[in-house]
Amino acid sequence: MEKIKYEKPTISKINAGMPSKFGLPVKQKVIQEIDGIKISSLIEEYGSPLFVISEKTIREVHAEAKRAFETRYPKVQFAWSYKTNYLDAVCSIYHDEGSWAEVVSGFEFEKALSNGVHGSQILFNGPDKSKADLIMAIENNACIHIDHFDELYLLIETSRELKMKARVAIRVNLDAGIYPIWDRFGFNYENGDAWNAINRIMLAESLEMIGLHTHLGTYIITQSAYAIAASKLTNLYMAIHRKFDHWLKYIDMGGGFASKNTLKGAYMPGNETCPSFDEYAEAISNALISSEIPHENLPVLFLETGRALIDDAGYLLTTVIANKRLNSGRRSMVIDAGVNLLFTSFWYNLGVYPTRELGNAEESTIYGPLCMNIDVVRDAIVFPQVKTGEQLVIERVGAYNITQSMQFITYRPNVVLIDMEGKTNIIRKKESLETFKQAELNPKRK
Amino acid sequence: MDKHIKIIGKDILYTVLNSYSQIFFSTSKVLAMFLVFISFFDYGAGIGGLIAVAISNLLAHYLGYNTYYLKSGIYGFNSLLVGLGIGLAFQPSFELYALVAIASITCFFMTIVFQGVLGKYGLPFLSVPFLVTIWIIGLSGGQLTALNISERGIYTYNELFGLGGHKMVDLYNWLEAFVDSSFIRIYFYSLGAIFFQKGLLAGIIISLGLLIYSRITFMLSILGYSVSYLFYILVGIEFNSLSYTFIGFNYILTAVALGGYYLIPGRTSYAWIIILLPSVVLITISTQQLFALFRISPYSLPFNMVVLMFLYALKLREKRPGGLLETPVQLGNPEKNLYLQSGNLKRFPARFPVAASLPFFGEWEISQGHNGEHTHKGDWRHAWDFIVTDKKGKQFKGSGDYPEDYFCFGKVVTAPFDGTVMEVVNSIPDNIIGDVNTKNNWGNTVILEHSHNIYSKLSHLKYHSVEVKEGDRVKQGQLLGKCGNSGRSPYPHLHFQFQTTPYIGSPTLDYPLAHYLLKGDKYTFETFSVPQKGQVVANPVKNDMLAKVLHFIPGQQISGEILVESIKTGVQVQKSDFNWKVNTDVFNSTYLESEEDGSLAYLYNSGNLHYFTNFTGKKETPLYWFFLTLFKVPLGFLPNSKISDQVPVNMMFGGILKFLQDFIAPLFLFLKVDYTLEIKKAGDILSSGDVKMISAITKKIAGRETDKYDFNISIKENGVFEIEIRSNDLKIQMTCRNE
Repeated sequence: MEKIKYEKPTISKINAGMPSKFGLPVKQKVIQEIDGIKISSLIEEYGSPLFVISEKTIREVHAEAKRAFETRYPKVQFAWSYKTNYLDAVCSIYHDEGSWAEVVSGFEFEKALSNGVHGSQILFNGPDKSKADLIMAIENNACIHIDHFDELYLLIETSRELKMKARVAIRVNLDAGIYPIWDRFGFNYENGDAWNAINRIMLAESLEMIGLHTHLGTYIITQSAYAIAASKLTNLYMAIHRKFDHWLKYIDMGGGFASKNTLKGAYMPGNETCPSFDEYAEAISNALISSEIPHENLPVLFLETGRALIDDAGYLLTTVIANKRLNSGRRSMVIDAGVNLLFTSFWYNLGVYPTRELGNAEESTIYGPLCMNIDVVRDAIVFPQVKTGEQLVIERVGAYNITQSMQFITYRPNVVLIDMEGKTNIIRKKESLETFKQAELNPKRK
Repeated sequence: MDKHIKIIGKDILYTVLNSYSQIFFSTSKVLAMFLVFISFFDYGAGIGGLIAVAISNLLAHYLGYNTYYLKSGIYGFNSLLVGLGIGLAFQPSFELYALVAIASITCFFMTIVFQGVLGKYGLPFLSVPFLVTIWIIGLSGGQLTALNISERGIYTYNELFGLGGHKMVDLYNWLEAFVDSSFIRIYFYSLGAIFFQKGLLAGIIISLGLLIYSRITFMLSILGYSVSYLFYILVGIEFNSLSYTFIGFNYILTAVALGGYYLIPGRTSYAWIIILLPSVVLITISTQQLFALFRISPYSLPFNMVVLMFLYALKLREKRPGGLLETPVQLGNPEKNLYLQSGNLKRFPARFPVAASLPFFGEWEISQGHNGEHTHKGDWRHAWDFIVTDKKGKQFKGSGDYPEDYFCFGKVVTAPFDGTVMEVVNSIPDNIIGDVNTKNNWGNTVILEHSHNIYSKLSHLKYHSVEVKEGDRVKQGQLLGKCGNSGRSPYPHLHFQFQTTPYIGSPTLDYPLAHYLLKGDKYTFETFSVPQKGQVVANPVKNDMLAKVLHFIPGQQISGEILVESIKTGVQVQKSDFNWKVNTDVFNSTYLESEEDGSLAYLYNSGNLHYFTNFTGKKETPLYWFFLTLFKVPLGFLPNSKISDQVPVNMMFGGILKFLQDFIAPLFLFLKVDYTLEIKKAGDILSSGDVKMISAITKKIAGRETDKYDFNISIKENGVFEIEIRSNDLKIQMTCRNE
């Protein structure tokens, strides 16, 4: 018989059977498999840590979002927000579902083109567009969303030089009851900047104004804000028609729909409080349809939602490196995935779950593997006792974590996609010393 | 100048010829020549006819009547009949032709008057003007003492000898001996009698002319004649009397007019000929008795009466069941009418003035269709119930215990077509799931009036969601309310039906939707169809660019070049430039006209669909290829959507095959031409980018494929069409652009 390991005794409050105001204590959630594939076999084959993306979830969530909008509004077009997750395999799924590309840099623009997206189906956002970027955008007939006056002047100059017409929209920032207003992006609605920019564009020979764009912010949990924003944009839309007898082609409501992750400091879990796609869609389409725009001239509605579409499809598999009792007596553990891979852990209380039923839950802190004090994945989580080598799953990490993960201290891991047939495919290989040697030059070494 | 004179000469010649063939509702020049020929069997009558035609058409020209009608012989044929009739009755003399001139002037104004009066009821004037005129002359005939009653018909051999010498006499004798069946003899007599001719030869020539002009007309003439013959036998009227009363043509003309001309020839129209002809016989017999009192003949009165009565009665119908269809576009030839119609009944928007779309946004599934198993029964069988389902076919999320769980609940409901709001119910609460409100069966409802006696009703709407009020004018696609769960609705769904009266609870009307996309492996563009239970449907979104380039505006000029190569030999067969012009005719149909050869391609653009309705002129020309290539194109944006149709048989088949097909065409088509079009690339939702399509035409004989044409079409944003056509032996490249 194997000798039972010694565990230091702990005292924890008994709350079994005592309903709090949220009812009985929730049973510990366990994630054993993703799309039918065991966590243990994934780690065995591809190592730990490991990012896993479910194609099935991507397609299901996308269909849900699409249905929510298309059954409420006649002309809807999604544009995949590249910065949320620009792995080629991921982008290809969205393009296959009919999404356009929403990019915010020359790099992302090139990536979209290389993924086979037609230039005219790229929405080019962001405050950083160099002259070279603009030339690329004009030559590819992209929809350029102008962010500021300096960009507008540069664009007029560039398109004149090229003797080509650029298709443009402006990004508008406005007061929709969401504070702070993201007024650093785009032209303000309330102070008249947006209207000035529109007038300037409409009079520029080399620019064709085709749309309006706004993006309220990120993780917006009140759908009514979108209704306010949409109705302010319809005012501009109608004003342009009245003054210039010109119908714009689209209104781009941006993204910012909340995913089901829970923000730090939130009282209730995200999946209880965040609006569904249906609620966002209801607010936006109602505002557009009941505006004064004649229904035969309703614009195409663009949506650039990223986070809400992909967060659920991403998992990070990790392994416990060590258990540690802190000075305060609080239990803590070190896992092999840290803030280098989980940028979103700075603002979310990410869900970390064991892969099998375990007992003795107590409040713990989960640290990442980095030799840096900031590397905290969860600073307070009620978690069962685990042994080293225990495999854990962190869910809802599909958005931003892969694109924002940094090469710091250690290599970045494999990213695996589970496709519709249930097969696993590496879609980005883990880094090795070779990865760095390729890019580095050392003049000191002969 | 020479060319100008040539054109005028041609116009005059055609006007005259058409005045002859118009008697058989035709504009066939061959038939006309036959008719002119036999009218001169009696030169006095022939000259009389020609004078009458000339006078009426000159009057129509100088008084400024419609040149289209003028050229098609509409103003001439009644006078022609009068001229022939008078010419035969009296000896040729100056007085006779003066009388012919006066009579044809009278007849011409009668024509104008009857055209105006009957035209208001959408009816043709047939030979009513002739009847009135010839009766006037006939009744006053005894008083016209300066004119001598014709002695012809008494000394037959003399006349024949004068016409063609011994040979003519021999031919006559041979014919008389050869055709000894009185059934056949009277058929030819009756045909000849239409032109006031006695004797077999005239009848034989006319029947030959009819056969060349139209096989269907020829068959109808025999059918009409045979049916009346059988009726004569049945009720015991002496049939041989027809050989000297010359009244049997009424049966033939009635059969020709109703069986194939004013109605689309088919089993039903043939059956109606059989039903109607006995009454023509009775009217003929009875009017003969009546008119004998005045010593005049009823002439074509029975034919006019029955045809006008029947056509008028048909016009008053509320519905147009298939089978008995008034010819929607008169092409002047029963075969052409039939082939155009049989290609696809759904092509004619005239049958369905209300071009309804689906009353919602996005993809919905039909949970109960026409003749449904739950509530769409009896008087209410022509209705649809729509719900929204997810990929797995589920219609709700969560437990489905609350209306809010259902995907369709609260979704926008829009107007299916332009109309006026007749009735609004907005205050019935939504049921809890599973419960039904049988007291207010239809729940919250909007009823729209689209046209006189076509209404639509949208029911079970959400409590207090209706945003229109009675009397509002709404446009297609405009918001009406939200989908709900009120009334007899156990779970949220949208009930949609057409009806003929503006009341809640009115019985339903069997009426199709004008256009929708049917979801399958690929989207299929359906036109004027009724979607079925279980199908997922959506409204097409119009591609502005495609709509723009396929919107041909009168006055627009199109030019291009064509290159034809033989695939086998690689030899260049043809290389030329061409020019087309967009025009409209008196019926407001738009057509493309080739400046090189005068071919016309008629088209229609419903705003959702472009299609060519007809092609006349030279085949295998650039315009002909263009017509085939873009036969039917949906303007809705959706890559990989498909549409199919059938090209009229006569557009692709000719010669003996088509000749044989013509005989049985109203009963059965063994020739077929299938058309399919697939949109490969349709720009994007902003309608920018080129459109690429492939279409194919397959010729089939008795179901077996014999020939195939593949078309590759690319339409650029600037309106340039690039078309590549491949057939078994030809490779054709065409480019067309706007001038």
